[in-house]
Amino acid sequence: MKYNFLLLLSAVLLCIGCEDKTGTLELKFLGSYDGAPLILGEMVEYDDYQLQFFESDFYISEISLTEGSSITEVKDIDFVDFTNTNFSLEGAENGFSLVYNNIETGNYDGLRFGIGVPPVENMTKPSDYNSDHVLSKPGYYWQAWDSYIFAKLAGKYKDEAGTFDDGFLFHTGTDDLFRTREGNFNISINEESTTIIEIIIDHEKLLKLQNGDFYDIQNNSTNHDPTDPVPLQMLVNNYSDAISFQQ
Amino acid sequence: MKQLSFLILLAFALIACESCDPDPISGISLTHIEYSPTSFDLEKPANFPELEIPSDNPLTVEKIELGRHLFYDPILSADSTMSCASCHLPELAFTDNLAFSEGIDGIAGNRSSMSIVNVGFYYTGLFWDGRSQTLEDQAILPVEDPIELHNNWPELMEKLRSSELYQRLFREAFGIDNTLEMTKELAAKAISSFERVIISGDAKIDRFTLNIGVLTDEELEGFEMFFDINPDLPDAECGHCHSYPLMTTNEFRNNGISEADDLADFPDKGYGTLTGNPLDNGKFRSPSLRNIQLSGPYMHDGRFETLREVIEHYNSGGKSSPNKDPLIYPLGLTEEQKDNLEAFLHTMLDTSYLDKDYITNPFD
Repeated sequence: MKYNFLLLLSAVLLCIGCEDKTGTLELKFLGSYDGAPLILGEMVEYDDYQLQFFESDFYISEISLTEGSSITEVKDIDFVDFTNTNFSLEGAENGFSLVYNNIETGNYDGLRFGIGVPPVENMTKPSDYNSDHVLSKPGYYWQAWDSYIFAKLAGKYKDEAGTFDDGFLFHTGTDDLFRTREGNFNISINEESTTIIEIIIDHEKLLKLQNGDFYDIQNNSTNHDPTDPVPLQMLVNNYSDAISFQQ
Repeated sequence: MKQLSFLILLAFALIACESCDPDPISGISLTHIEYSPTSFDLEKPANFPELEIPSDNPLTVEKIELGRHLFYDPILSADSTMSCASCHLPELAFTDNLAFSEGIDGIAGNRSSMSIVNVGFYYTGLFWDGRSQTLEDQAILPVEDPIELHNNWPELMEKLRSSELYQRLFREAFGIDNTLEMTKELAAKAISSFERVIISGDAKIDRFTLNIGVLTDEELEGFEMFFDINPDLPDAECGHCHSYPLMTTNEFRNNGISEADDLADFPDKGYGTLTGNPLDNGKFRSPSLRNIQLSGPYMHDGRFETLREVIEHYNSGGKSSPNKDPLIYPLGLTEEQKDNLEAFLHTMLDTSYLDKDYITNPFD
């Protein structure tokens, strides 16, 4: 009887030991402008005029943790949207979070993700997905490109009359403009706890040319040609440069 | 003898009548009515997204039939003069051609009646301001709205429980055993089921997209401007809010029809009332453009009588407000280009649903 109990106990302990230990990873996206939280609808200085941002969102995909050459997949695709967080200072400071449970515990040396929709998924259309999938958004598919819209950045600029009546709007998309961003730093996922990584997106850097000059938004306020090197390629490359990590 | 026959007949009539009027405490049994639900064979255009049906409200022929009766029956209004179909007429793409629909008391609201064609595919909130998340939630509201049917559900359900027709239809739809089980929630499920099968996807634009039909030169040029396909033509910026196949992105936008100095200044805050986000003030659902020539007047407040007025509005760049969509700016379209755009809008006409016997008025 005693032996049976010990056997059972050993089996239970062995079974518990076999279970993968998991923790939670929270990616907290913080929109910023010139070092301050980005508040949509509020005026910011840009070159010698002012801007107001009203929309900033993008697909984030192939999210993974790295450890040397090994990769732990976190999520295939998700969507970052500042619209419902960054309309107040408090919301902007709290940021937009994506939370992933059941991440294998351990030490990792980096976080990697794509900005946009990877080529395989970009061959699909919103009607291929159920409404709870991030790729089901009809407003993020542009028929003329046969592509998802990877990112939207929109707002208004102060015109010569001194009013904010004119808008700017930049949409990125198409396979050639898919970019990957990698942050190399130590990340520890611990059992039953949440590891928070802050991902700061500097919106001033998003709208600057590679040489650091300001882009002429007033005279080039929209884009629809994905092969146009300015502003689209500027923008997709900037998404990489404008992102910084903090733990 | 004649008098006796009359009395006997009268007694039978009274007994018969008594049996239709259920006891409010015990109700009446419905188990003698056969319950044999039949799954509905949905005809959905291949290029449409999945029609997502709640797991607790699967589509059946019997539920759609009950919903069809409820939709067209003026019993839903307090004075039995108006039904859902009074503001959603099938021949007008389920709208009423009024800027503001009037309820039974002659009170007009401040929003235009929306088309419910393809409404089953709207997953981001219903009504112009998105205040109902599901059709089941939405179907509850107009019955008690004082500017619509101005009834109350308890009284309406008493009327329905007293009706032999609805006793049978509720039993056949839901398998309930007793009239007391007839509820507003079941009525809403039935109406939702009916609304989900009002599908339109066989317009000229669909046949063109599937390469089984052609557009005229004018329509084709309109198509290219609508979706910004031809770099030699101006971009009319329509496709951002009205994408194929539903001809709506199911989003909420400020399309520049109201002037506002600041975000609190909109006469109707629309979507902002729901979200509490001031940046959403003055935003309204981008409606589907399918059957658009039937569903005027246009915009949430019916301010534009014709499609040409709508095109002129967008071509003008709209009125100023802090969160006006950046896509609303002067387009510089010529008169011919406006004609072509309008011609393209007409390719979205498809009223084949009017021929479906599960959609037509059962009381006609």
